[in-house]
Amino acid sequence: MTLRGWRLAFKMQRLELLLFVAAAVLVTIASLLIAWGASEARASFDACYEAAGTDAKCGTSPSLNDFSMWGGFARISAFITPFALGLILGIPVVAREVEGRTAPIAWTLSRSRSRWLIQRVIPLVVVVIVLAVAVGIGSEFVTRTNPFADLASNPGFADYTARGWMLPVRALAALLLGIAVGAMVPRQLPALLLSGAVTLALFVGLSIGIDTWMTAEAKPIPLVETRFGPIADGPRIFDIAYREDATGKLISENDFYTRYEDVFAPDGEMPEGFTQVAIGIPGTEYAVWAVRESAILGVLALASGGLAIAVVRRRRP
Amino acid sequence: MSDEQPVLETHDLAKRYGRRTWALTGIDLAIPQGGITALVGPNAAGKSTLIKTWVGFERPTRGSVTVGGIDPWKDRSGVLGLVGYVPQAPALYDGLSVEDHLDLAVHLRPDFDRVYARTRLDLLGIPAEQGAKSLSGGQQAQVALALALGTRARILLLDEPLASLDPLARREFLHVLTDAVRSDGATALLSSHIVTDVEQACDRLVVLGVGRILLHDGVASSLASHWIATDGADAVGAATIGSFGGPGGERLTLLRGTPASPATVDLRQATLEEVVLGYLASARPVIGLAAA
Repeated sequence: MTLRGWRLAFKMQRLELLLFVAAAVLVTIASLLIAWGASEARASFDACYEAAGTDAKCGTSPSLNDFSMWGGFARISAFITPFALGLILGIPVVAREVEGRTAPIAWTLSRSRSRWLIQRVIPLVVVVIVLAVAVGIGSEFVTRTNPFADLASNPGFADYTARGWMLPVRALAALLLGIAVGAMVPRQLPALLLSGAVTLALFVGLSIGIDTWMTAEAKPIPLVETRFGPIADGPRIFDIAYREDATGKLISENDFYTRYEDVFAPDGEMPEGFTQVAIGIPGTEYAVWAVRESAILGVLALASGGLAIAVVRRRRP
Repeated sequence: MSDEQPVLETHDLAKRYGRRTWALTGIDLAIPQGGITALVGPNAAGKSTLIKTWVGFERPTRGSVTVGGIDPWKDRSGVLGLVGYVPQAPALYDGLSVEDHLDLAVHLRPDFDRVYARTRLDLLGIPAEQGAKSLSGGQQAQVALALALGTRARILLLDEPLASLDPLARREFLHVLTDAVRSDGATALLSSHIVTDVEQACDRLVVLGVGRILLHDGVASSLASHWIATDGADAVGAATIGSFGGPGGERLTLLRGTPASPATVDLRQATLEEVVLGYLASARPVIGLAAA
């Protein structure tokens, strides 16, 4: 891939690229600023709380609520970015060539359509990954500095659809899917609508599938009381209404209170040997599940890329 | 490849779109090496389809096509190495300049002769830095032709590049084409429905009508062997090809051969346009001059 090839690939899609580079830079910088501000505010709040022993008069400006809300916007932007990046950059690769009637020139100048497609796609893959990584890093900071959680050391599954390495992987899958749909439906607007629907269906299906898989492998996780509730280390929780006895046997909260209804008596005490647990995947296993989802998306991306090549090789220009 | 060996061939070529629409119906054609062949016919005659099968854009429903002995559907890469192609109403990349198009050609085909293409454009005064979008239709066609010529391909396939050009732009285009073909010894196939333009530039003529070949001959020999008889006149020794309406509403009949006594009836040598019209009329019951 020559420098000339990179320059031409960027020039052919400069409008979308400029838009996305600007958007990604904006989202990343905004995320980093929100994370920095939230971190400062939280530190100030914690110092005040420590000294006063209460949160009275420990408000910050902007408030922790403000940072939480802005962080939410940053996470939504980060969640949307990979799909928007992938589809809007991917669809025109073939669809615009056919729609704009430039394909006959390109496909006769290049002796191999597969090579033509790969040369067109490589620069986009690099751009998509770099931008999604930048946004992913920004949103990772936002999650780790969530003012209402202690996720700095291990965010686990917190916001896992909108941060970190899942973003470039999703963006890559969306890009190749967009290219494949654009090759099959060589009109940009219909291709965008169709690929949007296909992407939505695929990712909702994937999300349901991963949840089902996780549910099957869920295990009891002891709940630890923190200032922000009985959750620690960002586990993926499916059910919190369980207790575990000393032998490791699980009993639902309903059964527990039916069996030990004395606890509701005025002087009733909780029976010993029971631990309140949630059923879920511990946050420490986040990387394993992220790799699994990445592998599935990788297969989807490869299949989409293969489909795009097969379609381009056979289609009329 | 010897000079006599055809560089473009079809055998019983048929192409169907959908279930019922036949664009080509059993075409046997052999275009020899060298010179410019005009592929003439009305709209929907199958000219573009025929050219696209040679480029490997369309797969024959029946029969075979070869370019330099290579089947484009089996070895598209091999064929594209031999062919330079100018598509119908050539479209360039809106966001790229003329220079960028030459860069793109070098990027896609490393052996593209950039200097040759650039020189051709310079001679026409087309500025390299100008955006393709702001070029006139004629200039865009010239850029597309330069891209095809820069491949230094032995065979040039031009799919109605003149259709949307004004007369001056058409003249310039044909001048560049004939100059390049003569100097490089290439073979060009130029499809068009503007007969007067191709008459000046082409050596051979193929008339295509309703999906089949109606005439394949040299331009000079076509002119020499065809006659026009007015108002249904007939002549001994010549075959009647077809009748069509003249510009004044008179009935013109195209004859082929050598009439025994041209003086006895109102006979004159046919123009190339009349030759084409006569053959197209032979494939359709009635045809007027406007069809040309």
